[in-house]
Amino acid sequence: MASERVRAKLASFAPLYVLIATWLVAAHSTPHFADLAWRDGRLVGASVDACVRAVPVMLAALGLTLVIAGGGIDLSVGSVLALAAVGAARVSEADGSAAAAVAAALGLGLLVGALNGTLVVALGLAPIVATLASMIVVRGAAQLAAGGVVVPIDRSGLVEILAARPAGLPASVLLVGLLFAAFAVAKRRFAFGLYLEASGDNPRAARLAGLPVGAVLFATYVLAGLAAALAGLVVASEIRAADSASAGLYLELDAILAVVIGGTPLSGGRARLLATLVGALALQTLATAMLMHGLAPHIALLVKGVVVLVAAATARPSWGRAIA
Amino acid sequence: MNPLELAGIEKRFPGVVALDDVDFDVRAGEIHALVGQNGAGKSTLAKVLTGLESADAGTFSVDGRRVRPRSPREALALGIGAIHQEVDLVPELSLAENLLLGREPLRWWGIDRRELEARARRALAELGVAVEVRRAAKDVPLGEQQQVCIARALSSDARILIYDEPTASLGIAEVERLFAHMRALRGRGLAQVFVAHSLEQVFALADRITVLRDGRRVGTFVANETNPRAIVEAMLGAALGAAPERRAAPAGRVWFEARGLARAGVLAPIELALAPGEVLGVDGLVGSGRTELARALVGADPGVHGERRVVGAPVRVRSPRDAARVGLWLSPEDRKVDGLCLGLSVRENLALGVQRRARFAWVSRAAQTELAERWIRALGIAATPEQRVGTLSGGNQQKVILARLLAAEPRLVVLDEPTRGVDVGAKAQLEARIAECAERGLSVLFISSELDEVMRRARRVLVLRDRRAEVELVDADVAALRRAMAGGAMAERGTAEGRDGE
Ligand SMILES: Nc1ncnc2c1ncn2[C@@H]1O[C@H](COP(=O)(O)OP(=O)(O)OP(=O)(O)O)[C@@H](O)[C@H]1O
Ligand SMILES: [Mg+2]
Repeated sequence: MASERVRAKLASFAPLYVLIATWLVAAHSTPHFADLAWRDGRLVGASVDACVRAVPVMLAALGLTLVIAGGGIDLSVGSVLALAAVGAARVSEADGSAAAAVAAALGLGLLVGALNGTLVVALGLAPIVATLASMIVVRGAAQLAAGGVVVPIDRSGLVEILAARPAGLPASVLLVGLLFAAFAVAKRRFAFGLYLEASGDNPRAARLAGLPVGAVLFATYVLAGLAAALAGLVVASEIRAADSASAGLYLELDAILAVVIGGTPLSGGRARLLATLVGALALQTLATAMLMHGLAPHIALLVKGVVVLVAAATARPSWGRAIA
Repeated sequence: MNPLELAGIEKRFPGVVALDDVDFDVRAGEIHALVGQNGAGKSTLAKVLTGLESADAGTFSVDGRRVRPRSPREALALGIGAIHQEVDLVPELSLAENLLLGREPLRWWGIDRRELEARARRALAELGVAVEVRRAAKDVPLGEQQQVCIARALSSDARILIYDEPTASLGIAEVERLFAHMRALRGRGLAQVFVAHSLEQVFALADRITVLRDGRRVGTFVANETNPRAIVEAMLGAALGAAPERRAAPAGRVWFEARGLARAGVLAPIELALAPGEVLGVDGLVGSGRTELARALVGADPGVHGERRVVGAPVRVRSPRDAARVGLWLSPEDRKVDGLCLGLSVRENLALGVQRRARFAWVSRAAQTELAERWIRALGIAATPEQRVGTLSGGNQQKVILARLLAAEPRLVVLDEPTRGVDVGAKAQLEARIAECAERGLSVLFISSELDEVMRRARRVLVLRDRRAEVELVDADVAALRRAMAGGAMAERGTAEGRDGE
């Protein structure tokens, strides 16, 4: 029936309702939360702040959406962020050029992504096991590379690039837009999207249909590694330092939550990139509002947990019986 | 007062009315057949009866008592058991665990495994099946999985049993044993509902036949007062055209050859040769290695030895991807596990076939939709392009696989039970399509348990037994084929035409 179809369509916007509801509640209960102003050629306000703070999670979650759509998971994104940040800082210490720093970070992301892909695709390890191991190993490698200190990153041009505000918007937010556009084009304008969703939905059938399932899944881990490395660059240039112990800690959890709130099924078969971004924004809006409100951290955790549950429930494709 | 009575049952899905004001009843000691085209609503009715779907309207009573089961468990408590169209075993559990799921024999320390396995063995032995019940469901062929589903239903205490295409993955011998069992249960006064596409089976078994068309009940007939032709007309709403009796002529040079194709422990070396446009039948009993041969041909499993040649030149086929590159495609036996991406739409599943040819270039959305609409029309698939394949009826899913294969413009297709669950009208349509492609030079390796179907299509039939090639029959008849499958090959070597004895 037409009404059923309309209902399905409306349900697919669930993450947006969560974002709007969160924002409205925050704006209502938190003084100055809704304020927006144009100051010194830049847009400022709590909402913009939430956007900027959400950038690392948004970047990592975009890559993670592809991995999850392929039926996998990547727990190493937070550690990759730290390793990429340290790598960029170390290189800029030695060399100073922004290009070299970027190349180092992306190279490390690519390397870890390829490693994850190999473990999962070629060796057939369960994705959660393989990436849990690399989460631990990569965090260790980052700390080793940092030599137990916080590596400063002020000599590189990197900071200036990401601190720029073209059109009044933070450069890092534009970076999210670029990565989203690149992934969306790969998904919707190339066979990659179809191959990915088919491989995630039923890898056996996809393989028998002649699809390069292994290559596609390998690619998702590489892309997730690259996306996490970009997040590392953003974090490092924001705080002008790379802290190998705390950078990106628990980031993978927020990234998974963003993907789940976005409605990408954890069982694979669908990639909802834009919805993932909306999910990440909703999470950060909530966090920013609670911070401004001065909520005690333990209360904030409770609230976050409840919001995530409600959001994940509304993002479910159907309200029908889960088993049957 | 009948054991089972339904009145005015209605069930709607987005875009279709699957059941529309259906009345249905089953008497004690009766086998009531339910027939109809693909998508007519048979499985939906079976699901309503077992609480897997809830009816939107209508009443439902068991022994005159109004009921409304909301889960298979509740249905079973009411005495309603079912064998569903799609095998529904838990892949990781053993066959014994699956068979007695929820009814495990308990002791104070937990499940009594020995008793569990003994009971499972006994239930299967009643059907004449000897399989290792400790094996995981995912490791045994579809036919055996289906036997477990049947044994599970039969060993429950249900007094009303529903069989939704139970014979789809069974060989002749298994079917006969199942029928004997069903007749015995009829003698004990059970009420049984039998869904099938083979009218031969329906008339062999049923007391009454109810025909559904587009979700509506066309009529209920007493089996020995009607005939197959009348039933087909009621199903289709028109008379069935004669099935195309065209046997493609084995013409010209060999296009494809397999030499010494083997897989350790699974398949003994086999030789095959096919000319363009030729249809080669492959047959054998359940477990004779038909599916293994089909999978080995396209490189679906590792560890296959032997050589494949295309026009005399060796080709490397180590994966289905390599096979597709030389134009070799498989329609796998188990459509749900190996064939389709159930979560994707009809359009996307079909696009997979052409997308491979286009490599990584994008096949535009408009082109995909056009492709889907074309094939939906060509094969009469009851679906819209954007419908999720998982929501299609079984026979329509099978058509989607075939459409994907043909859309890929193959040179040789290996069809492993391609008409399983497809209704009589659609079967003729599919056969005509395949014959049409064969005329244009497509070679076909045709595997089917329905012997007359194989005989109609293929002049040459390769018979497998115990995972090796037993004999190749040319222009044989069904009786000769049956004997060869059962192991009487020596008497049948060469043409079997005109011979009868033995
Ligand atoms: N979950 C669902 N969502 C949408 N449509 C559905 C769903 N389940 C069934 N249908 C539709 O309901 C109709 C009846 O389906 P059903 O499975 O009962 O057919 P059937 O008679 O069993 O056919 P077959 O012989 O192919 O098994 C079909 O058009 C099918 O596409
Ligand atoms: Mg059905």
